[in-house]
Amino acid sequence: MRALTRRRTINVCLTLLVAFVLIGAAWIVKNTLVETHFLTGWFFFVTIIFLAAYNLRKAFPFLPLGTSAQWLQVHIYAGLLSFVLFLIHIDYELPNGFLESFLASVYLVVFGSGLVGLYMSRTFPKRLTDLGEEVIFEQIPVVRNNIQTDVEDAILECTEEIHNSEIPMFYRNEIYPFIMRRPDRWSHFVYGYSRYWRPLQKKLSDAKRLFDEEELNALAKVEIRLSRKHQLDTQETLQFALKVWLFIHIPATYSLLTFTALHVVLVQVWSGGAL
Amino acid sequence: MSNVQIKRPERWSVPFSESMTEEDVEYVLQMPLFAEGMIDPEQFGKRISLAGILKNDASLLKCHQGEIIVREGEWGNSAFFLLSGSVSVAVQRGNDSLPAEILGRSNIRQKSFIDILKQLWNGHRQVESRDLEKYSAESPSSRTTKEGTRVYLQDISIALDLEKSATINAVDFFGEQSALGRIERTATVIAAGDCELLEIRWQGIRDMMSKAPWLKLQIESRFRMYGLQRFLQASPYFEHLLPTEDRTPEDVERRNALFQNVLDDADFRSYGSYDKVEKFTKLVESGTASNLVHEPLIAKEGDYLEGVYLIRSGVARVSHQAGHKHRTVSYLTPGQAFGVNEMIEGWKTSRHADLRYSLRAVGYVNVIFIPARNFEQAVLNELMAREQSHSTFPDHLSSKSSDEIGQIDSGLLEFLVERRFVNGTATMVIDLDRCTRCDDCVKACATTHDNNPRFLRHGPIYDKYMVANACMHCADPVCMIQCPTGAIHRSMQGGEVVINDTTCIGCSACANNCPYDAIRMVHIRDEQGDLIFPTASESGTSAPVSLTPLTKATKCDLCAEQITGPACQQACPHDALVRLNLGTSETAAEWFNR
Repeated sequence: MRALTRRRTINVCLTLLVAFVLIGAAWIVKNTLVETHFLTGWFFFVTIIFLAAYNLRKAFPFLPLGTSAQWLQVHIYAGLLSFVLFLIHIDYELPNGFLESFLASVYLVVFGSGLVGLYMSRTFPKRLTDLGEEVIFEQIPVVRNNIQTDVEDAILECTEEIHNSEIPMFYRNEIYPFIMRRPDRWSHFVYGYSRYWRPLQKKLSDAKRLFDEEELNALAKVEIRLSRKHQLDTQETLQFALKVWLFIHIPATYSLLTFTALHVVLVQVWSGGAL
Repeated sequence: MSNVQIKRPERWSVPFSESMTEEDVEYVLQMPLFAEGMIDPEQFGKRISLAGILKNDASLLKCHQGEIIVREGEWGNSAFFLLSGSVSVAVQRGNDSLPAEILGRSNIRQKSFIDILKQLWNGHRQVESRDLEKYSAESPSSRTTKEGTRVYLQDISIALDLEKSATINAVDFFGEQSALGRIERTATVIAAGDCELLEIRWQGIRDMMSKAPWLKLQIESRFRMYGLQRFLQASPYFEHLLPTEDRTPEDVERRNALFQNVLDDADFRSYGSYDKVEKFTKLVESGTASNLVHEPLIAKEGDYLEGVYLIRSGVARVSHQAGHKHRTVSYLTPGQAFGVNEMIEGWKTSRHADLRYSLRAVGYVNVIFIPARNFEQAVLNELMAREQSHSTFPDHLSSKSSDEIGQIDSGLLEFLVERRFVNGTATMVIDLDRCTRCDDCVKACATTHDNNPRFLRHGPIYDKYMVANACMHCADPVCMIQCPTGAIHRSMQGGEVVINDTTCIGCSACANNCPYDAIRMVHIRDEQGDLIFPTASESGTSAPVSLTPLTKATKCDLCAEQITGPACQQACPHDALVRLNLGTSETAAEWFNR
């Protein structure tokens, strides 16, 4: 078994074991008529604080606190266990108080965004690798701009060299809108290509029947650049998605921490004789 | 067809030193080394004349007392002929070497836990900002002449323990072993008084050796006495011949005799172009690097096995005929051997064995050739007899191909060898199938290095592996050649190639020499973020003498000061980035096949 597969197998087995132990222990304690909400609540709160600490650890790479990869492994599986703790804490029922419902919603946003992030970080890198060319996210606008300039130059060159060419008109009507269009993010995100790409390819294919050899040569150069621009849009979308999910996950985590702290204070204050 | 014509580049198109004049050549030829016949100008032909060698392959140096000529551990492509005066050689090695600060190096100290914590609030706010007081306090003294800048010792007698140093007087030479063998300098040499030296690059020495029997004899005898003996003693193939306390005097004598035979018959051979470090990048760009005609053949598949080849320096490609071309099956780095398996096979069956693979020089390779007869007597007879069985030759001594140990994918192997990444002892490899492009590695590097990352997360890709543009800490660091102050050096603690910021004069020699573009020159700033300009230190004025800001060479130092090791690797959340020692293909294969 390969090292990474072995690690995943061990971690999944351990997580399942801990989850069963937690569920079993909660069930036993509950059946002895002992109040479990305080205990599971504190467990849950500490887990959330620990999960949130990962972001803090990233800011100080020089501290000898273990590697980021080790932290992420613990973060993923502790995050999955937090859902088990959450279910135990809410007694497998939807909360009915305003703050509790809000808190549960925020937790679900954090948990859900974490799952989405995990899925994307395990699948999108392969999609990016399959695209071939690797461009750093911040440099994508520059590269796209260069492609646009290259296309324009190729069209201008063609206009100068070939009299009565149809290519400039074709460029204005079909290519220019595609070049200038913002990346069709949703389509790139889900399917890996733009909704406008295939229609353009079809138009390019149809138009080729009208062009002579010189024009076809010029168009071939343009087509290569258009394909690269389309690929760059996919790349930008996937890299954007890999970055942007954290802008939901992390702020939601801090909201969760804040409101959980409030929840703890309120519960402690209003617990009455339960403590 | 283009009619552009240029003059065909020739052997001496680019002289070693621009400052070497005809008068200097005349002057040098009057010195005893040449005038008294040790090296006879008459023996040289017209095409490669001695005067031509001196004019184009040499440089005349005038050194003053205390000036450091070569440092232990640095790399150089030249040897020095002492024409007049004398030099002191610090013979202490390893931990007893001269202090790093004296040699213009940084004394890398791993930070304590408290120092690590201090980084939380002590970090620089500005990009590449420097503590200016450090420069005035730590800078070693240096002199700048037309030949370049040299660091010198204020008081040689204090720095150098006379009992642990040797003196070389005119006429003699030193530095030829590392120049010809492309290995580290083994000692520090300091001018004992005013002296004159003739520095000759390796091509000049090679040509001189072919025409001057005295020089050839001297160099070869010194090589056998020092270089070869040390190399063979360190080789695992011959360690059983070294004397140990538990052996009888007769046994020690017998083993000594075997070792001496090996020493006498071993042959030193060099292959490939020595100083064309930039050539391979052009080959790769032109797509012809995989065409092995560029790589000199050391041993050919199918040929009769005449002996074992031990790699002394450089990297060699082991390939196998596949169709009309060759498929790379493995590569060998210093200390590894070629032909051992065939030798064992032949020895067991008492029949001659042919070579199963070809061996080629990737760039420049030095090999020690051990004739079959010597290897059988000194190694096979001894080790097999000791193991009491023909089938139990120590596993770690057998040569292995990728087929035999099922290691790196052959395409990946071609890629790593073709682009010379196998030269790296800490090559940054990124698994793109796991990398989320989060840039945590880049941010971590910037956090630990003056807010400026020391690498680019960009580089050549093969399949899903990217070799990022970061210093690989080469086994054969050509960046160290030509550093005038010894600022770029290999750390004595961990072996990392590091730059002493205090002694770096910003000459860019290292950045220009690095074939991987892993060294960057940066403008430095003060704590307020203002650029720093050089001042006329000698005149004492603080006014800038140049409108060009001071530059320093920067590169990855493998976070040598951090107790956590390389921050980039520590910061990668997805186990996508690793610093791999590609010198040992087995450990690299473990990561690639994880």
